[in-house]
Amino acid sequence: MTKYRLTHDLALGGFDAKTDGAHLKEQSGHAIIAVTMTNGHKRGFDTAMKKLFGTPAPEANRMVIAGKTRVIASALDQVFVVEKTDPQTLEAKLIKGLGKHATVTNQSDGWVMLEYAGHRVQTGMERVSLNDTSIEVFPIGGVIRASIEHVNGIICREKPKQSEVDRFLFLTQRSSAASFVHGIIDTVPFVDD
Amino acid sequence: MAKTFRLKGGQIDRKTPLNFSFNGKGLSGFAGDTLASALLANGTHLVGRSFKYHRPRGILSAGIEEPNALMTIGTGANADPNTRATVTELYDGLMAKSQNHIGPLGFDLMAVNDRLSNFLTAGFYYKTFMWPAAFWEKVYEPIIRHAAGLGALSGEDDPSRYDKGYLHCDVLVIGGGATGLMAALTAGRAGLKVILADEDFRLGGRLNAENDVVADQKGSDWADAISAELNAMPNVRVMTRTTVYGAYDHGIYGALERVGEHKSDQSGTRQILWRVYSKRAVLAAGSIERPIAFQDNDRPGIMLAGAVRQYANRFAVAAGENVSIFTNNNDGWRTAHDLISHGVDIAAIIDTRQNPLDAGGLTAPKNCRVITGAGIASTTGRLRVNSLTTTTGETIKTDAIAVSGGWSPTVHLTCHQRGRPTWRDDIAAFVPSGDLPVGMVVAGAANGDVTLSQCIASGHNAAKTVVRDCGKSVPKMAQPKVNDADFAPSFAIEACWHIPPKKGRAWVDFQNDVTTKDIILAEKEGFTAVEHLKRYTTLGMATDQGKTANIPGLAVMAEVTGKSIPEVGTTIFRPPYSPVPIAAFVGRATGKNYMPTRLTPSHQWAKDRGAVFIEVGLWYRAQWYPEKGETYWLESVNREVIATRSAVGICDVSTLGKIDIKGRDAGEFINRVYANGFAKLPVGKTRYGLMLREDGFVMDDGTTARLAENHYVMTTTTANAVGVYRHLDFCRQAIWPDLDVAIISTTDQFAQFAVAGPHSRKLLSRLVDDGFDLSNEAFPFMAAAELTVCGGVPARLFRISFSGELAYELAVPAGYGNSLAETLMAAGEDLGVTPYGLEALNVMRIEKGHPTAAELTGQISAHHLGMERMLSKTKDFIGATLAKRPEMTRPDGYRLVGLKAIDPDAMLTAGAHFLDRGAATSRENDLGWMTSVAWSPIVGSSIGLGFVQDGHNRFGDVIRATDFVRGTDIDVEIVHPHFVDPEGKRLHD
Repeated sequence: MTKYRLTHDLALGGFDAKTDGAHLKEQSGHAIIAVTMTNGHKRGFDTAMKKLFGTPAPEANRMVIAGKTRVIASALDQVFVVEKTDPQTLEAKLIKGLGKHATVTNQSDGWVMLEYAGHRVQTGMERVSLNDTSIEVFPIGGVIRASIEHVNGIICREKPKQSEVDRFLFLTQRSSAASFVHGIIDTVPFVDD
Repeated sequence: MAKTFRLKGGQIDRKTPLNFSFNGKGLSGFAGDTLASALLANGTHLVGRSFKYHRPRGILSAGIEEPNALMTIGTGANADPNTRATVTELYDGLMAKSQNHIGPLGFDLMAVNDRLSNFLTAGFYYKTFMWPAAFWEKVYEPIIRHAAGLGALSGEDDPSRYDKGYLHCDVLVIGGGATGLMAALTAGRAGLKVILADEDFRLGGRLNAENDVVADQKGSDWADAISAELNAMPNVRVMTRTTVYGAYDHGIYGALERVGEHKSDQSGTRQILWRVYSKRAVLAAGSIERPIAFQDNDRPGIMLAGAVRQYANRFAVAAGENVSIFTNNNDGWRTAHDLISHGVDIAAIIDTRQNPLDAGGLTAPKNCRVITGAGIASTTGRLRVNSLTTTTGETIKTDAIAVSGGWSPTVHLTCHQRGRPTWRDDIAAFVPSGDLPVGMVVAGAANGDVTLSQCIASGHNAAKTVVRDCGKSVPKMAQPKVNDADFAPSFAIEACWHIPPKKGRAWVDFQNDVTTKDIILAEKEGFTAVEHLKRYTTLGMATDQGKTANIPGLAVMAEVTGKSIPEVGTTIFRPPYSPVPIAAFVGRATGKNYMPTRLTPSHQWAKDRGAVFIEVGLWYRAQWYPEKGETYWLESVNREVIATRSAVGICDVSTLGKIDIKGRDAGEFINRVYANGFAKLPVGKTRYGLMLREDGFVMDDGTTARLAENHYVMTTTTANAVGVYRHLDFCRQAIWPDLDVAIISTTDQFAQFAVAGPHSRKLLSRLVDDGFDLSNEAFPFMAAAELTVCGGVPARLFRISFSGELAYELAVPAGYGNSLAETLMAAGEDLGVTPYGLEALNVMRIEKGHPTAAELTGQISAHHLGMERMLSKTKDFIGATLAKRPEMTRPDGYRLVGLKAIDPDAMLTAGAHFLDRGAATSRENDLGWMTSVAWSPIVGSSIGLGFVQDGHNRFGDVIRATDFVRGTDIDVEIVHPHFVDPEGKRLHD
């Protein structure tokens, strides 16, 4: 029995920055599992997803929240299943539940998840996102693959809590996450005009 | 007390006085003033010196077109040169300085140039300074450069903050005058998402400059009311202080918003560069008044008539006490009426037209001298005009001349995608053609409308078009009643572009000191084409881009060539419409934002250990790990190589591309993309693969392991990770969509460490969990497995080696990266474990003859690498056909070989070319080139890899490695590329 034990680090060390009107916070303890539907298996895939989460996979560029689970459709036939749980547990559940209808890959350490919420975050989004993230074009439940300061990411709009006005969820690659975050906090609302 | 030229009324806030300085002299103005209006209110007309002749210059205009009143605003690092005083909003504490003079502004020593003007005509530098030839760069050019120019940069880092952003709208309305306001109001009420951008800090455009009545109220009040309604609409974004400077493809516009320039506290963001994505755009940019060229028409106090009116009506400033009007159209008369209403004396109205009053629509002001059918022959007054002489020989005392040569529609943005404007004789101006940027509608004065009622109707109609295009209903709304009968139906212009001077010069382009004489000279010398005219004379260049000069300049050229103005044509307008600071384009892309970085999973550990990092693409990789007492990088690298080859070393190789390939057809897919066979790769095994492009050249190499029946993991080189992934995705989606394959990048998911050296197995055995057998029999060379380490952490283990030693690559989820490095070091302390960086890794792969990006340049074939046997003859694969081309397969072609310096002290250099001993250093004798070099502590000399013609048949030959760049010529022996353990025994132990 090996005596050595490994400790797990958050990519950004639990990044948490708050200002008047905006809060950007690294999320921890989530399993992020990539699921790709097998060619020609849509019906079986939807049935299996419904059985697992009570809802079929959303259309591309939409997100559904099923209990504790977010199902984020980042592309055609491809979703991320995100849940606050142990990655191996969720991966195993998906492999078993989806069977031949999908391939499943644990990406929990490959992505960094951040929440960006507050009443001034839309102003901030205008400065960093090429995509139109205004509420009328990008409503709650919307998902887009975006580039922020030349760093790729996935942006989801979530339902704001209390006085937040706007709430976004970001997924970005671990290795460049520091640049992604810097791109956001180097502009309004963290830096005033 | 200094004399003031401040009038009653205006749209300034007299309750908010502001202090500022000009050339160190304290002055005051009011909120709502521009720097130019405040200077004029203080009686300051002389504000700068001209570009070439250093002539005294005053304020010409009241807008963005200003060619003369260019100032440096601020001091030290904050100094901003070439800022137009006419659009600089006054703030408390503003410090302005005039430019381009030696000595005081009123006594510029460089004004001697004006005396030498006969020698400094257009293109003088093309004809003079020809000899001695060497003097051009060393003497003449530095002197000319020093003497010429406008403002200067501070030379310090700009401390201001610049931002950028992205906006989206249904319609972008460019210009907030009457036309733009009406367009925005119509579109806004229809429910469209509207952005209204105007470069001024106050909406209204000419409504603020004139005494028009709109909807039974002052035009400026109507503009305020519309502005308030627009600001209250949630679907409308009003952006003042914002210049739309460029029209780009697909409805994208560039806009510069000046958010902080007008504030006393300039610590916040100074400017924001916006990229505006619009479905439609309404260009309502108005028009720009033109001067008329006459002798000495550049004296301070000679201004555009519309500007004089604007200073009086908007800023409550008189341009002079006794103003003359010089015009070729009705609009000039308006200035006289307005000034008289403010109590300013009019010395005379001089109209080039014979009988302007006969046409109706005009009335002569009472007690005002009117001279028709005449022009201004000359003026006097060095630092401020004090008299004029008409072409009829009459001399009139005057302290300001308001000149109106007609108005030119602001067509610039319509031309940014190669649109060419067309000429309209009735207004003597170019108007936009039908060849507009997609989605753009032009309205108002920018489209050649000359009356306010036309502009308002035009703005409304343009918006109606846009509203319908966007699928909305046009709102029912009445157009406001406008009284513009006095000057309707048009300006009744009779073109008069210049009054030929009897002696002296008449200025066409004030900013570049281009005179009518220069244009005539250009014609004489054959520079008649409009683009040649521009470059020969500099007409229309520099910060104002000829906004007031282009049309008069073209008119003079038309006259001397006997052509019409449209036959002469126009130069091409390109973005930006007005100057945009480079800093604004840079925006936030400075410091950490200059370029994103990618950090490896053990970056923090490596940093804590004092690693020296190197940028590899976007990655930061540990290059070596210096230890105490080591003073030179090679010491560290040699130590790391020796320690790895004699004991065990660890290296973070997470940057290698990792792609999980899954699905029923995953094996078949990989078999088709690699040149060598993968169909029979067993589960639990890894294989080296060579990937070709369709053209048969090598694209990348790497290993692919089969972890389960339908699950493979491919590794790529760091440099090609993205390219290979794209290639696979293209193959999957476009070439073989029938295959059941899913690919996903797992590069970021895993921290992967090479564990290399004779003790590597022993070290790893201390980390793997019970039940996993690492023995050579159970886990031989090229084995692969999924397992757990350190008490249940999921991992992948590959027995592969880049160093040529007994080696493994261990991958764990990236979050364990730092911890894995620490743990490997702790567990291997007694084994002599050493971390090694990219440099040692490179030394060891060269010692082992492994190619990497330095060899796989995209122009290398499998034969060149000596890997021709890997090209399968039993299957098809990408690149199979074109890899057989004769030149790529010729037996005596380039081959990858090892090179060893004959002199052990010589240092080889990558990039050196090979030549036979005694052969002349000519291209014909070139045998190949060195791709990679290293000092090998194992071989004890400098070694290299390179491509040599017929290299495999030349082992033992001595040739020269000649480096023309570094000036070296070294004898090298051609050897087998495997310097260390050529039999590969260590790999299999």
